[in-house]
Amino acid sequence: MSKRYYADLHVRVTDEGDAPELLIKMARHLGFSLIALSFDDPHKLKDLKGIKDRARALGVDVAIRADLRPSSPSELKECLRKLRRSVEVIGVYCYDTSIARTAARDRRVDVTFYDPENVLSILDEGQLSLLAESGHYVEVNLVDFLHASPGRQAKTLWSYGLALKRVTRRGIPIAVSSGASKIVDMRAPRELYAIAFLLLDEGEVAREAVSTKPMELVRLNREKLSPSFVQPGVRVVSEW
Amino acid sequence: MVKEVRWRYVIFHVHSPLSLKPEDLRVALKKHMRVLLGTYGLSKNPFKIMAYDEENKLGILKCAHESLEVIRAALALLSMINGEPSAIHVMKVSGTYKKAKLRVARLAEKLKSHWAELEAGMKKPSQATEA
Repeated sequence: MSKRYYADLHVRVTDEGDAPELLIKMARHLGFSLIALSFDDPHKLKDLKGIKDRARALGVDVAIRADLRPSSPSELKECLRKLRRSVEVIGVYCYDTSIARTAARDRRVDVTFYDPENVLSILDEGQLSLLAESGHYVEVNLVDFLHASPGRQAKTLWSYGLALKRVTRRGIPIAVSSGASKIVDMRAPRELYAIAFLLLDEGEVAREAVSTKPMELVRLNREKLSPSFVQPGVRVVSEW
Repeated sequence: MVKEVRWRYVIFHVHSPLSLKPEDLRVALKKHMRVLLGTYGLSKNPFKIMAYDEENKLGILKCAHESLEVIRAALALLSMINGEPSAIHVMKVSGTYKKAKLRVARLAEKLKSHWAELEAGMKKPSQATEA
């Protein structure tokens, strides 16, 4: 049996959070092979690129991710145009229906993640159809559950449980990530799997959500960003 | 004869800036589990803290084989102990208590080498300078 590799697709680098080096060391300690470091400020992109080499030396593969929280659909499109060629993963925070619909239609988006309060109303049949067509990932972040009061935690677990069952029925890929900006909020792959299992009730889908699915997304996007890529299934083998 | 309940011994590591006493941890965990699972949930997923090493912050928790994923998820959802941001990570799962104790000893050695650096990183600036 081949070894399973695990990925955390959402580790946030923020001013209030821990330093990227510390987050990478914690990821290695927990057993991740790949983490995607996200930033809110596009000016920090240069710093993160330097971190990639240091992370490789530590034995963790780092992908650069941009988290977009646009105020309008037009702002989302503008951000996508600017950032798509410079980052490996693009995630869009969908807090209302108009943003969610635009993100689901746009093929430059990789991952959509939702406001836990409105996840059930946003992830309706219309949104699911668009997501199924475009092949975007639906992401669940552990931090949405962690710091909530018990009442809210219960509601969030219930909402996500229902929403993810809808998502699974439509064959839309799911990624379960920590969404952490501090090492104390990071969790091991098997812990993320346990939460995914609790929400989905399907062992294999839950396992894929923390291993093969996120790894596959990063691999595909890296292939797309390589200079030899022409279109899916077509790439430059040699030039003359 | 087939056993009615197959027990598992979960070796966990407490990631907290506080140095907790076994009793503090027991109370905090019981409280968290009761809030998360409720009385009925606890009756279906019983657990017991068998041992806790204050120095290395490693402990052993006993639970039913069928409840393992629920207990693991419940531990992952714990974010505060005594008002401080904390986490409990499951390191290993063993089928016997004897083996679990052996593994704790081995893990304590392993953790000593690289955990100090990570733990220093999560301390508050005031605590870091004190140390």
